[in-house]
Order: sequence, then C-alpha cells, then structure tokens
Amino acid sequence: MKGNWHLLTIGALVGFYASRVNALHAYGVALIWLVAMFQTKRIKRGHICVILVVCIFFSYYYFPRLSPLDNIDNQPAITMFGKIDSEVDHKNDRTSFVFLEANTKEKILVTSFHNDSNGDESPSVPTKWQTGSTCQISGAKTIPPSSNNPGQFNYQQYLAQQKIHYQVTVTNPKNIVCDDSFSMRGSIYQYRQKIVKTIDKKLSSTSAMWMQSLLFGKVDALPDSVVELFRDWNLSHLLAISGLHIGVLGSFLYFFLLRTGIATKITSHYFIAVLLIFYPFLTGGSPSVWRAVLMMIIGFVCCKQHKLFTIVDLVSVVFLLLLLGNREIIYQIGFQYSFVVTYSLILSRRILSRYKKYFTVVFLVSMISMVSVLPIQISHFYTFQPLALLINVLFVPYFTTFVMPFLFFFFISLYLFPQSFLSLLDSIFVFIQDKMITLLFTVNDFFSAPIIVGECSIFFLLAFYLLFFAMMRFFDQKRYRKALVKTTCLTFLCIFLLVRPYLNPYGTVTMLDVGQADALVIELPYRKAVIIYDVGGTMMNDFQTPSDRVYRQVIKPYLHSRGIRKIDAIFLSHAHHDHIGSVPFLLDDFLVDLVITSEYFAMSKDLSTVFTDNNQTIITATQNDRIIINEHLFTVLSPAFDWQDKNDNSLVLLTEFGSLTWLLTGDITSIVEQNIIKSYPDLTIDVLRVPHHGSQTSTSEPFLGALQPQIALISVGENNRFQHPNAEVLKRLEDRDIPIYRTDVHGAIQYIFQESEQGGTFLPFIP
Amino acid sequence: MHCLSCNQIIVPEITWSNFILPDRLSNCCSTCSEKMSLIHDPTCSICGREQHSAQKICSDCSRWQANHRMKNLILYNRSVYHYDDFIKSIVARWKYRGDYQLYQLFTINFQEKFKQYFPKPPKPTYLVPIPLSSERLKHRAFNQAEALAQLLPYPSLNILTRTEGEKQSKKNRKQRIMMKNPFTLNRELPAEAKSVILIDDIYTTGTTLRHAATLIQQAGCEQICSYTLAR
Repeated sequence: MKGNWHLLTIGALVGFYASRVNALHAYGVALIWLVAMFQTKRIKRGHICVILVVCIFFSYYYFPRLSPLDNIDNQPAITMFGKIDSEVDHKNDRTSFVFLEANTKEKILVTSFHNDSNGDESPSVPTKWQTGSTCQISGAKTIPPSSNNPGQFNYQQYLAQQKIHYQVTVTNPKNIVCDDSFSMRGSIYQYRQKIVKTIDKKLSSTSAMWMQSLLFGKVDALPDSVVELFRDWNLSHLLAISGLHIGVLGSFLYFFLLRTGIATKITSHYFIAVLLIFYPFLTGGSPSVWRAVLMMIIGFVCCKQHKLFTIVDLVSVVFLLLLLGNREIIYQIGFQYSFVVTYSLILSRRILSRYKKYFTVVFLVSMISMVSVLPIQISHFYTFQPLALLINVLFVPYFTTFVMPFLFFFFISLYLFPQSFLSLLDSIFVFIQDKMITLLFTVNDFFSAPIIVGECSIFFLLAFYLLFFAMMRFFDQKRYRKALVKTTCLTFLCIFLLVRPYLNPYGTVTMLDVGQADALVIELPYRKAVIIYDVGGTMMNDFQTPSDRVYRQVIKPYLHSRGIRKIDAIFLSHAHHDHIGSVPFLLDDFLVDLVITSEYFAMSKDLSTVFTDNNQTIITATQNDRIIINEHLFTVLSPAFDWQDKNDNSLVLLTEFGSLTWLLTGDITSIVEQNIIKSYPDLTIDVLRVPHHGSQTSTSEPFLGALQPQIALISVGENNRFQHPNAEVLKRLEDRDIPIYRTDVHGAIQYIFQESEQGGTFLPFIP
Repeated sequence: MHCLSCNQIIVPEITWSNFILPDRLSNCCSTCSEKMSLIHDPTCSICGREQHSAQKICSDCSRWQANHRMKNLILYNRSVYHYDDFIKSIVARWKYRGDYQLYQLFTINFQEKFKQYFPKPPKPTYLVPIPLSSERLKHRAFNQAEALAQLLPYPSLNILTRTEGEKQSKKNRKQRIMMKNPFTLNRELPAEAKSVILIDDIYTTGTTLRHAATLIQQAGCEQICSYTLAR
C-alpha cells in the first residue's frame, strides 16, 4: 500500500459524498475509476479491494442517521448524571463545558451564568468543576438555537459538528454538584490554565496575548478586531496552531535535545513524538493542531525510522485517522482548510522545486494555499480579499522566522531567566509586533477591497476544484499553454459568480428576522437596485448601549451572502433604535448612495455625526412625493405634516413588486392610518407590512376594511416584552382570512418575484 | 517492488499528475527511468533519430535514399530510446548476460510509444521479429526481438531464418552495409498481410532491417515499417 494511501482518502471522500448527497452516480464513477486503474495495470488487485472496502465503510459511516432532535421543547428540569468531557471554559459572566450524560451517552453543552454583576467579589466557580469530574446537574435540556435568516451562522449545526445536540443553561451554580476525581486530561487542562495565568502575571498584555494564542491556542485572548483583521486578510492560519507552529516547536526541541546531549538523533525522534502528543491537549485540540501533531509523530516513527509511508501517505493516514476519531470533523472549516492546503502544497512540491529564489517560492506557496481554499472561504464567508496574497507573502515569513521562534525562546526564558531580562525581551517583542499589527491595520484602512461573491452552490465547488486540479496537473507536466487555458477558465468561473446577480430575472423582498426590530431588503430583478427599508439594531444587556449584534449576525451576513456590495437607497421610517440602530455599522462596510427619511425625522446628534463623517447624501420626503430609484417607483403616503410623535411621523411607502402592491408602514398608529384612508379613498393593497410590530394601537378595523390586504407581514421578536403582536390585531387579520407571516415564527420571510409575472412566491425561512 | 535495474525499492512520487490515476505499475524506479532517455521530436522522418537540423531526413537516410534498390524499402523506422551508455549497459545485461526479465524495464515506454508512432496501422498488421541464427539462439536461449514483439498487441510471424552466424556487433559500419543478406524466407507470407512492422532491439545502420525488408517485399508486402528499442 506504500505510496498509494491517498487512494484510500479518495475512496473515503467518495463514500462520504455518495451517502451525504444520496448520489448513486458517485459509486458509478468510482467503479469506473477502479476498473480503469486495474485494466491499465496501475494498481494491484488487493489494493482495489481495500479501496472498495474503505469506500463502502465510509458510506455506512456517514449514512444519515435519525437525528436525535426529538420534540423536547418545554421539557421539565431533570437531574442528569455524567462526566465533564471538555475543558472548563471560564468567561467573565459564565462558565461552560461539555457534559457527557452517563445514561444516554449524549453530549450536552452546559452553561452556568453567575450573577457577578450584583456582588463585587470575583465569580467563584467551584474548583471541583474539572474535566473528568463526575457531576450531577439539574436543569432542562433544550435544543440550541438554529439560524433564522439566510446567510446567518447556524449555532445548532455548529454544535452538532462537535456531536453536541442539546444544551442546558443553569442560573444557579448550586444546580451543578461535582465530586473530585482525577483524570489525565483534566490535569493537562489545569496545567494549561496555570501556564496561561503565569504568562499573564509575568508579561505585558501585548506579549501575553500573543504568547497565549500562538503557543497555547487561546485565540480569545486576542482582541476581536485583531482576529477579524487576520480573518479578513486570510491570515487566520497563522493564529490556528498548525504545521507551521508544530514545525518550529519540533525543530526547537530537536535542536535542544541534540545540543544538550540528552538524546541521539534517533532517540530524539521518539522523544519528540512522546512530548508532542500532549500538545493538542495544551492548545485546545483544534483539527489543524491534531493534523500537524499526528503527522509529525507518525512521520518521525513510521517514516524516518521504518520507512513505511511517503509524505503523501502520511497526510492520508492522518486524514483517515481523524475522520475515524470524530465523524463530524469533516464539516469543520479548520479541518477542511488544513487538509486542502496541506495536500495542495505537497502535490505541488515538484512545481515548487523548479524555482530557486526564496521570494518566488514563498509567493507561489501563498498563491497555491489561497487559491486552493478559495471555494471553502467563499462558501463560509461569501467574500475574499485579493490583496491578501501580498500580505501573506509579507506576514508568513515574518511569523515563521521571527514571531514563532522568538515566542518559544521567550516562553522558555520565563522559567529560566530573571524578570529584568524578560522585560527586555518583552519590550523588543512589543515594539516589533505593534509596528507590524499597526501596519496591517493601516493596509486594511487604505487598501481593503474585498470581493463579495455571495452564496455559491456545490456545483461551483465541484467545477472550481476540477478546473483547479486540471490546471495544477498541466503546470506539473510543464504544459504551460494548456495550464494557462485552465487558469483563464477558472477566472471566468469566478467572474461569472460575480455577475450572476445581474443576470438573475428574479427579484426578492426579504423581511429579515432581527428580533424586536425591522429590516427589509429589496433586491430588484437583474440587480437593478438594492433598497433597504429600515435597519434595526438592538441594545446591550443594559438596554442603554447600542449593540452591533443584529448587524454582525444577521444583516451583514445576509447582504454578503447575496453578493451585495453597494446599496442604492436606504429608507429610514423613523428615528427609533429598532429601525435605524444598525445604520452606523452598515455605512462602515457598504457604499450607500442615498438615505431617505421623512421631513419630520428626529435626527439625533450621534446619527447626524455618522452621516457627516461618511459624507452621506440625505434627502427628505413628505406625502405625495414620488421617489424613483432605477426606474422603480415608491410613493410616499405619509407623513403629510408633523404629528409631533416619532412613530406617527413614520415614512409610509406604497410600491409594487411583480404586480403585488405593498404598503410599508413603519410604526404608524391608527390616527395616521385614518389619515391615509382619508387621503387615498380608492387605495387597495395586496401586501401589508403590519405597522408597529403588530401593536394594538395600529392595524385598525377601518384601515383593513379600506385597504383590503391579502397578505400580512409582521416583524416581531420572540417573547418580546411588549407582547407584540397583539392578540386583537391577529384576530382582526384572521377574521378577514388574511395569511400572516411572522418573523418570530417563520424566521426571515422572502418574497420572490419577476418583473413581468403576475404575483410571486412567499418563502418563510422556517417552513 | 524493487527496481530491476538498480534494486532500489520503487516508491512513486505523487504529484498532481498521478494523484487520481496512479502511474502504471513498473519494475523501473524513477531514477533509472529518468536515465533511460527517450527520443523526442523532432526526428528524422525515416529512421526516427532525434535531430535538430532543418533537414527532414538525416545524412544516413539520404545515403540510403540515394541507393535506388534500398529506397523507400522501409517507410519509416521509430525507436524508443537513445542508444546511450546507460541503455547500452542494460541491453548488454539483458542480451549477453542472459537476464531475460530486464525487458520489463522497457514495457511501459515500448507500449506507449508504439501507440504514439503507429496510431492506426491498417488491418491486418503483422509483427516480424528479427530472428537469431540457430547457434546464437541456442547460446542465448531467447530472442530479444521476440521478447519485445510479444509486448505489442499484434500477431507475430516467424517467417525469417538467419543463415549467417557472425555477431553483428563485432563488425564496423562498412562491413555491415556491404554484407550479404543473411536472411531467408522459411514460409509464405499470409496473403492478406498488407502491412508488416519489423521488430528489433537496436537500429544502428539499418542494414539488417533492410535486408529483412527486401525479402518481405519480394513476398508481396507493400507497407513495411520497423520499430526498435533504441536508435
């Protein structure tokens, strides 16, 4: 099998694909592949059998099982016994860990909130909460929240990828009772926490956070802005502990063992293998660190000593081992990145060996890594930064040759040298590192030009990888002209993705589920314009400070998933936070041509500063104004005069999408509704965006009687404190047999229409 | 598996080219197969020697073309490898030291290049391996040309007999060209045989192949080509 283990990886992937996509044709293709290999005498008969067995095994392994998500809503609190199965994660206001229930063998995410805001003491977490402890927990199992909007991060799926299907939230720490028990993993985790604390104590905050994140996998020690910056510029691989770090660590240890005379060359291989096995536990065990560590250990023992595997075999064996260790790991983005990049670079080593100049090789390595993970990047984040290539060429050597070795040396010094020497190292590191990070922030401010691609299908992924594979093959065989043709095809594929919205005859109107707030995104057919009606925000837990949570979690991912870069117009109905709260964040990330408010919009000082800072064009409108945005007409029905009330001054718009007439109403109350009926006695509409989240003071009987709406949309938060939508309002609508779509029940509600067609389709995100 | 030439373990180097479809199983390691240098285009259109001059035909072949008896006797010859020191040493081990199995070192290239040089031979096509004299065959125990012929997907005809016994390799160029035809036809060529490919291990001057071709032409075959391991 030596030299052929990668064929097992292909077999496993075919098995996975066939059983996930339920595609029998995959087996057909695989069979043709195997027969062709055998017929042309490329592989021995025994190996064909092994590949078949692996393929069938992995189909079975990934065959969709019955989901354990039964109906367990509103279950009473029960008492569960089991063990703590993960590291215990301490945050300021909460402690969380994964709990393995003894009876059902289910993994449960347990989060305990401690109300330290009341007391001035630091939160006291019982010391017995340790990995491996046997515990008794009382609480109600719930299903983690899923996503409610297109493009939104799905927390339920994310936990399921770690085999966690339930969560329990405990408000009183007394509901968790643990006994002391020793476990190997527990003590490693404790040791890690001790190291992290020592680092905090001895070093300045900058050095401490870099050392904790780069050597011990504590990425949350870094500020969010830095993590995001690294992600935006495709540098996350430097933060995720991977081959780079293990390589530096390994060579450091090797050098140390040899030079001090502790071990010979061969024994030091075994030495390092034994030492490294603890490293994943010390660093939180992400897929990339497991990959790198296993590769190094197996590499030292099986390749260097016994010559069992080639380098490609090694990656493949580790790939199969990790899949067998955790079935769901294949869905983790870190795993996908790690293996795609590793395989791509190893398969390219013949191409790379043709170039002698250091700079050229670094450039090619960055290029191959970046292009090979592009589809994965796009399908997770919808965007990519083309200039990231140059940044990688600068930062990868900086991290490999300076940051990593320096930090290792620095860390060992912590235990060997006096504080004065540490301060010196500290100031050197902070000086250089701060300069580099500032440089990156500057680049981000001036040269950031992300390409927003939007959501893409599995066919794009397949087409991309086929073309990529063919291209690399031709480069490998020095058939440069053909390789260039494939490169061009690849470029056209990406360009096609970018122009896709402009060819799409369907338009959409999406009422996003942003909780007790409003956000309606209109995309006209052929992407003639993107128009937004209200962009609500929420507050922090103190109900005072504006939070960008809704923007970050819902609005921005949605716009990116649709490949939206530029917004033609934003209508702001009135100056309440739940309708305009996300405006400042939106203006930071997107180009907005025009903001339209009512004449009587109560502009706050803060908002006005935001607009002037962005040089934003703002126009105001009153009753009977007609606003045309790229041939699409909006008629303003209200306000005609200042109602002396923010809600009543809402901008009311009448417009048409695919022959249905829509009324967008802001938060008007029944007085304004009466005024509208009086001003437009002949008006009837098809779709009513129910005013004020379904409050009792709006959607009056005469209003419905006059307008005769056919469909009602309500944007309202689940279990909101105003008890919207009001039962009477719902009854009024139901009495008229008007179907109601509510964001708290249906998630985002999408209406899809064509320019010429009659009507369109309403698609609730949660059916 | 070990390399038949150098006895090293054969481990394929996996790159983009052979990731999905592995290379064909071979008894030759990558180092040795790199040493066996293939003949690449451009070549002489008659004898198949690699040449980079402007002429289509090499000087040897223009001399053959001048001889009106030998002119166009062989439509074209094609060879797989340059007859350099490395091939020489392998061929010597194979032929003179009796390591019959060594032909497997050439299998893949001999088959692949045949497909490339003779893409669509007319049907039926026969292979005629150049024979050894009976004493030499007894001495060597196998005929290298037959060993090569059986790698190709066409039927072989053993219709030639070699009468003369002195070793080819002991003669110089002039002696070779001037010598008498050492072959005789031992039976009739099948009537339907319109195309014949002569198979031999080495093309040096082309005399042997042309002697054989003369007899086959007299037997009534029009289209005669030849395919040899080295040139």
